[in-house]
Amino acid sequence: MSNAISVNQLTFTYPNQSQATLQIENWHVEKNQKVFLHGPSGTGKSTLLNVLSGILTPSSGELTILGNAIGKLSAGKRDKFRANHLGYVFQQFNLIPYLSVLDNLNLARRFASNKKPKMSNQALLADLNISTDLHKKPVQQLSIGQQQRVAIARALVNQPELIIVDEPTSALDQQNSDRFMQVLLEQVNNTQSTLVFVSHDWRLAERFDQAVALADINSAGRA
Amino acid sequence: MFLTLAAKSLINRKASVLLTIFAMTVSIFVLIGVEHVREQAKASFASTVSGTDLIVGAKTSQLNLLLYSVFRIGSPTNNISWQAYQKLAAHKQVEWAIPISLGDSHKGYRVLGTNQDYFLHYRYAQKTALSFAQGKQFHDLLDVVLGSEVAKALNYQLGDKIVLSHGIGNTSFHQHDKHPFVVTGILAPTGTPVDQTLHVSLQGIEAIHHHGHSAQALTPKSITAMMLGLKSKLATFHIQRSINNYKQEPLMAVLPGVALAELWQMMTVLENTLSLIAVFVLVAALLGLSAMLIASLRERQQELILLRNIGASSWFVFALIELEAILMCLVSISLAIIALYTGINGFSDALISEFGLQISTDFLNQNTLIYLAIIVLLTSLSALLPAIGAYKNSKQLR
Repeated sequence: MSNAISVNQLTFTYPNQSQATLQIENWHVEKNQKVFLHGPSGTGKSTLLNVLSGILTPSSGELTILGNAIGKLSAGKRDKFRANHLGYVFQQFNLIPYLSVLDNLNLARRFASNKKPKMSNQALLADLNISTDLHKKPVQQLSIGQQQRVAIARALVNQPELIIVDEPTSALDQQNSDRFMQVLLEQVNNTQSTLVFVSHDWRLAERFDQAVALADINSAGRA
Repeated sequence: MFLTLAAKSLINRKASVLLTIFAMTVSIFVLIGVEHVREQAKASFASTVSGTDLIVGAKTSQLNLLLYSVFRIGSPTNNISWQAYQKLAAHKQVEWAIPISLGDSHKGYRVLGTNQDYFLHYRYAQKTALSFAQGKQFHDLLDVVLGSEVAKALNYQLGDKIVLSHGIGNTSFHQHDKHPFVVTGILAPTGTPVDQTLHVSLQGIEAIHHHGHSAQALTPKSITAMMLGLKSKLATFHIQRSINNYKQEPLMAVLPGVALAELWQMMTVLENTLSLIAVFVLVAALLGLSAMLIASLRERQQELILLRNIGASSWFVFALIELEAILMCLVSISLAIIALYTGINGFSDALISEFGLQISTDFLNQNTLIYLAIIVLLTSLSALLPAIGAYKNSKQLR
């Protein structure tokens, strides 16, 4: 029970393809760990993230997320599980552009059903340096840096145990990128959640407890 | 939150959404408008004559007789003799007989020659008798009683002198200006052709055409048609048969209800054609809606993926597209209702004076609500294809 992610003999093949996109013998992420996953595009990264979040189900093998065999849950339960226990931040399009900052957070809250005491939107946004005058603005009026910080707030709003972050800084300049990394790691430390940080940039790996290359664990497509 | 999301998403794509809503509005307007005018026209026709058992005229088609005697449409082919009228009016089964003499006009409105029985026995709608808004029925030779629309459109008051012309054109060359008539009464509105009619005595009609004013010269030689009320409805067919077999001259008697039914039958083709066109317009608008939603899926791909990632089910995505379509439909319905309401209000005067059609604004009856419900249902069906597309996309099985 000390693993946040536990993968065993997992394969995933798209319905219209003969070759597997994912083939992972064995991969574990311990709870409260911050893991750097090196995953340039073309290594099955998006597929792996969709399998971890339960949008896709494994073709074979075992996948346990936070003690739940997620591949064996019904579609509806996987959706609820994702809303309650997982938080996502992507490279871009983390927010509904025409909704306000607060509406975006409330939308994420709406899908969750857990009874955990939640942080208020105000407190969360204050922690992430989003000033109150931005709260009611449509997010498309915010800068990219601000949007990515709101994205962290959105990901944390349901206090997820597992946070998955995918190339979150590639659209940001150096200053915003540093700031993003700093507030993200701060928040993860505060909430004691597990973090999987996917990036092609090895330079970021030093901030994490462990680093692993997706190419090393995914043997799909190898001769 | 669900509703807010759908509404804000639509507002975010206002250009294409507005065009779609506009197309839907036009089609719903046409559909509800056609249905409403159809029902109103039917009701308006059916309420024109009531309580009359037989209409008698010269031999022609029963539809023609009904049209010229009751609706003042078209021209009579022939007249019936004054003797025939007197004989029928005195028949022991006949309770009352209204003579009708047509053929003259005033500024495009028909002039009807008749006698006091008209005001006593003529019924319309639910056996409603004619009533006077002002004044009283004609009494003297050159008195005239106006239908409400005539008085309103030509702005005539009691006591005004007006000149009637021979023939039924608006600009008849032969004006009977030696004999101006005096307005003695104005009828209350009926919503029937009575409103567009000027009523004078039969003697008045004769006075227009002859110069002598002797009692003998003023006795009509013939009339156009007559309406009969019978003492017993059971005698209707018997009387009708004996009139149709009248030896002295070729007469014909028709039952107004039967003739009206024949009129419906003729109008059914037109009605169905109009309805069919309205339905096709709606189908075109719904196809447009479907195409617009499908086209929008591509640009919204990331938005839908995002919703999935924060915990939305594929069904949520499906329902979101459906809700957007239904929202657009409801906005269109509201706009169409407003447009129809203002349209009817704006054109009701023109409809009455041009076509004698009284169209009310109470089109939101049970029938219309059923139509609107069907439209909403069809909209959700048209949104099925894009909604299923979004559902499949959201499964990420590329």
